[in-house]
Amino acid sequence: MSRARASAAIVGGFFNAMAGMLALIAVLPVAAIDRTAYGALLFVPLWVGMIITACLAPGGWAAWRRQLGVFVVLTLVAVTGFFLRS
Amino acid sequence: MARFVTKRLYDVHSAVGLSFGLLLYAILLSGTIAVVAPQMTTWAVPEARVAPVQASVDAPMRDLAEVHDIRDHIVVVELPEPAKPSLRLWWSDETARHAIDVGLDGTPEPWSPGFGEFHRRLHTNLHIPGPFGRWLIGLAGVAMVVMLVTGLVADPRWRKDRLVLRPRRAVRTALADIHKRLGLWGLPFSMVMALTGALLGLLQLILVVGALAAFEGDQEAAVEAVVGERLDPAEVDADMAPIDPLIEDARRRLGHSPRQLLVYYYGDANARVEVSAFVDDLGERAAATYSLADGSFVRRTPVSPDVGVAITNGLIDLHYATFGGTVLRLIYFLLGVGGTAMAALGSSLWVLRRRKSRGTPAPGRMARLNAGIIAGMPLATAATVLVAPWIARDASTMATFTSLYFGIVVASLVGSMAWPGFFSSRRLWAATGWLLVAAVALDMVRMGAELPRSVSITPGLATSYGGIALVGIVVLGVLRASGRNDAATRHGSAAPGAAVDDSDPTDVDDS
Repeated sequence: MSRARASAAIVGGFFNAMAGMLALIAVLPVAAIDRTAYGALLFVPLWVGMIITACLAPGGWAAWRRQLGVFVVLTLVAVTGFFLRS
Repeated sequence: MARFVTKRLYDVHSAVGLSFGLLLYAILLSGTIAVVAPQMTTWAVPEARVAPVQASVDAPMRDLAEVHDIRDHIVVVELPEPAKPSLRLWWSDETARHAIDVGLDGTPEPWSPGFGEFHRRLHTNLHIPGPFGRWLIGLAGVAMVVMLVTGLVADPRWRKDRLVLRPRRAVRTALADIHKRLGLWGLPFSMVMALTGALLGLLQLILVVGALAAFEGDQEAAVEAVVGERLDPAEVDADMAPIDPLIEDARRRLGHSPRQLLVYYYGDANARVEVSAFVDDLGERAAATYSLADGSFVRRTPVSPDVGVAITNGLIDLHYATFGGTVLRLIYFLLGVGGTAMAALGSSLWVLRRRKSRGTPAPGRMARLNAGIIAGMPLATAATVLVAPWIARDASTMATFTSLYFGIVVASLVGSMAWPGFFSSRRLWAATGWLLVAAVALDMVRMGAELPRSVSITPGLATSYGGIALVGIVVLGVLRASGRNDAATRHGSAAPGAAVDDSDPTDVDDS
């Protein structure tokens, strides 16, 4: 496995999992403590999913591009969700 | 396309296994020991080989309040049970966690972390200070989930071969079968352990971010939502109502034996005690809370009032098997042995594959490193089991265990690298088996005439003797059987074609 792919999987995957957790916390229509719990629960499966997705990309830089695309979408969802809440 | 995905997932499985395999082996092995450590209390602490009696909580609480400033703290009281007959009180302040054990003679003694705590710390933070050890464990948990998922998906014949074991085929094929079957049949348990372990390891990190986001930066609101409504000390002295009758009252109200008390601000007018018990086999807890200023009943609550706390408690209960007794812990132990063997076989398979691809019959550096760690850690664990009942429990106990354990691991590693013929994997495993058997024999000799009485009044001791000796005998038996199998393969008495067939048809890489 190339360094680009491994870093996309682990580092990119970590930030995407964090963004996914925040997006879920932003949009779930339940109490804040429950949103925190569901978000935390989702973190590890999200990270695992992102690692596997990155490893299935056709190349190392393609994996990074894929991660970046997912990150942009999840961040937009999170920012919109928090904006609508406030 | 499917073939490309399978091949790529197999590559991921190999790469992650190569990076995290030995670390996971260490974590799984120490976790397997840690889960039965409470049941081994009577083994590791000879003073605890006495019948459990109902110890009073009031006397040690009063003694504690006289010596230590606990009025602003929460004291956790772990009530005695057959496997752990002493009463333990512990609390944390800004500097450290403090604990005392109250023996059955009622004498408080400073708590000294020993055998169980050594293996628990090895499992939860690898003895690395600060949060970094926990984070590393969390990352290893994520790696384990990745390996479980990719290992299953990358084996297209897992349904067809779900019962296939070929012990008389070439070593690599036989080991690959065991690795895959352990992975498949232990998958639910391994997945739960990996997911909960990863979450517990990373919880501190992700909860801070998550809670701050959910509560829009209001840290106090986040803390209150997690730990419940906070009751502060009134800063007014008050006489304390006796706690022992409240425990009896809680037993009646909850319908189950209390396991733990949380004593808030003992000596203060706002002091309370929360008596909790497991109310079902799935780990659901309930608690009865009393005011200690007048002994009045305040409320009966599920300890898990919301999803957040319920999930955290659920993770802890599932991972540490705290929702059951000795039988559940033994089941966890056996499943843990399976998971540990799966990790060890995965690393060994990688070494065998590498040796085959290079066409070198002699073990290379990686093979020796692998043998030194995989056989060295059980040997070090067996040594800690052997010495546990013999060493004094004081402030230096943890240092003794640490030096012994890591000294043996390093010696095995150096020995395997420098003198692979003498420090062979088989010899190290044989030493492990003999150490465990010798540990039981030596302890029985030391007990002498006291042995029948101690075993009859402390069932945990008999379980420990049986368990430790059985593990040692199984290790020696497996070594003997595998030696016979190797000899049969060398002399051509195995199945036709087996001795020359070193390919693994279930490996996608070979197909």
